[in-house]
Amino acid sequence: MSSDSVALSLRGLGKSYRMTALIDQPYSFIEMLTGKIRRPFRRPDERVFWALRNISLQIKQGETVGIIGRNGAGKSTLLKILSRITDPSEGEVAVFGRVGSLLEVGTGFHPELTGRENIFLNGAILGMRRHEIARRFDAIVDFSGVEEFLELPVKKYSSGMYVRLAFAVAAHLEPEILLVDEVLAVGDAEFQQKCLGKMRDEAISGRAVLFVSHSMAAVQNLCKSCLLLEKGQLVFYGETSAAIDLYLQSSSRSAEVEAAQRQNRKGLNASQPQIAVVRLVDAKGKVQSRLSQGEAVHLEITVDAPHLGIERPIVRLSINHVIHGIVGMVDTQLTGSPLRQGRYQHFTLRCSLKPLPLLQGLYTVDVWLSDGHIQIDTLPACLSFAVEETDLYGTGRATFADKGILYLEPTWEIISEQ
Amino acid sequence: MAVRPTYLLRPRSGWQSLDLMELWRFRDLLIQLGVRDVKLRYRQTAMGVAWVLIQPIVTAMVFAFLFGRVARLSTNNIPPFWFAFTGLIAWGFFQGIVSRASASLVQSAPIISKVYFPRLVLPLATIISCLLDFAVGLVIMLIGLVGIGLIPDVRVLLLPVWLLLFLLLAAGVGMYSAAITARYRDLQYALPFVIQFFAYASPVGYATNSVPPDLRGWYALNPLVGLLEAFRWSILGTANFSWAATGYASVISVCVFVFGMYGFRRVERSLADVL
Repeated sequence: MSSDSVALSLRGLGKSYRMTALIDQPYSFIEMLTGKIRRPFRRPDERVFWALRNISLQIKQGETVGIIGRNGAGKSTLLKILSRITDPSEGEVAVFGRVGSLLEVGTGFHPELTGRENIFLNGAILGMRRHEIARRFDAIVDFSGVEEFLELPVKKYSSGMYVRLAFAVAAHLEPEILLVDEVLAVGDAEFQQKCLGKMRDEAISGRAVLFVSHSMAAVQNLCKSCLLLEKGQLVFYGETSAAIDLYLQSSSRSAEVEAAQRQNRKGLNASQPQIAVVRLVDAKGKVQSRLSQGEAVHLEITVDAPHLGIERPIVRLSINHVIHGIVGMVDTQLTGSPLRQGRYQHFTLRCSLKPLPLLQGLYTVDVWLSDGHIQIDTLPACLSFAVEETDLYGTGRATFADKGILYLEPTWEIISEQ
Repeated sequence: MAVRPTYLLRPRSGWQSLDLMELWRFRDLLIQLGVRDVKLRYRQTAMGVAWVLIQPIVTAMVFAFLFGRVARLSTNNIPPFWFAFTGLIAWGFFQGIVSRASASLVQSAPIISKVYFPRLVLPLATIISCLLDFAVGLVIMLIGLVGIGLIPDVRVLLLPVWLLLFLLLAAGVGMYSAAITARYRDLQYALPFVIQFFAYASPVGYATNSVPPDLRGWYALNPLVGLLEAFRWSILGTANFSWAATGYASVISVCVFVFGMYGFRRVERSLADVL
């Protein structure tokens, strides 16, 4: 197939779920009957929730396209439709070629069956013919690196072996269109690299790859173009760095709005003490969502407690790498702060962190508020920011992407030489 | 666009075509799933294949005692044990497919919500392990019959036909109830009861001529009557065979199978959302 032929063509695609179906669907036949008898003419309340709507786009063979967006933006729904697990509610998709998905590796693996038996069973579930599996059997075993355990039931495998074998089967499906959902979150670093390499090969060999991930590093690394979904809508489809920019902007913007508007979170109402705004600003006080490596981080946290006030406020925050987890945590009690005991009805606190040696990547901030020992408010991942690479060392080279969280600042000395 | 899409995904509603071509492409999956069931059943059981025999043998003894000795119902001059055993292996085949096929979707819910394949593969794959059970029972039965001097004649050649009809009827019921069970779990509990009812409402342990004549009309509505009598006629040469009853049963079996398939396909598209 030529490289510019279309692999997927989506026209006005939408998927809706009936909220009633989710909330009070009759779960037994009797309930349905009694419901019908009590209210014979009542149509179930059809509050329709659109998980995805008006998605129109084309993806060509040989393209690797990232799909990014916050939780609930519709990423997984899109993959579910493309992989034919669920029907769309409107619109249509024309699919050119066989679709393979790595939505959940190891689907259909049976613990009592041996590795060998599971390869054949899993391959068949993924749509491979027996002779296709037999032909690729050695390659699959080789890729997984579990050949000594092939005749052992997989319930005796370690979770790492299990995942590797499962991924190996899925990776040898050789579909024209490959859907990948966050599989890289599993396995050890070495195996992840192997998987990324495999996906790159797929793309090079002319397949279309759709890649859902929360790891901007991986998306940036693998995908030329990217779609950004927001609340079921396609917000942007184009160059990856532009998509990530937009995603981060919208994340940080919405963090600001959300903190102010999420007044009902965990039973809080507007009159109770709470975190109202969290912002990331630069040295000049301007709101930012991107930092350069080695730039100081300033976080502004606004707390409102209009009626009751707060006696002994403690603000705690942590900075987290989206893939590798927590970078560090501080609170005002631990380090001491200008916050004193006394009745605050409002305060805005700025926390300035000395230049952090953060690698390029995406980071999030969690904020907690407590009054003495009593925790009042929690805002997990309330804002996110990206750290961009710069020519840190003045050598014209970028730091190693996605190798850890921090960059190191070494001084090299020659102790002896010849 | 000159190239035709491999397939088009769009909203579906109402009756669907069966898409047997696609089902055929997934025949390896059907076999793999069937083989998996067989393997899993005998792995880690101490007596392995013996379990397939113990059940019908013990039940045949109970039936022979109940219907033959206690109730003294007609067994057409066949030893009650072998009379009941013949009925039971055919009945076991029917019942096995119905109950395993019905449970197949709910059991495979995790796969259904993650991978696409024609869902019909799941209930249909259960036929394989049931066929194996049946084959084992049949061999034991034939050995036993020869042992007591009851050697089947040429009519035994029609056995595959009756087997196919049993299969169609059972798979039809199984597919449809699998689809309903996915939505309403009630059927999981109702089904064993219904199956038990039919075990007594069919000539499994007794012959049709034991049924009071005024009830025969109602009794004959059950398609299993014609099939079981035909099955027994083929092996034991009993006299209750009638072309009318068997013809009726054949038509019903084929209809149930076709309807079961279409009914399944109708519900199939929403399976991932309800399971």
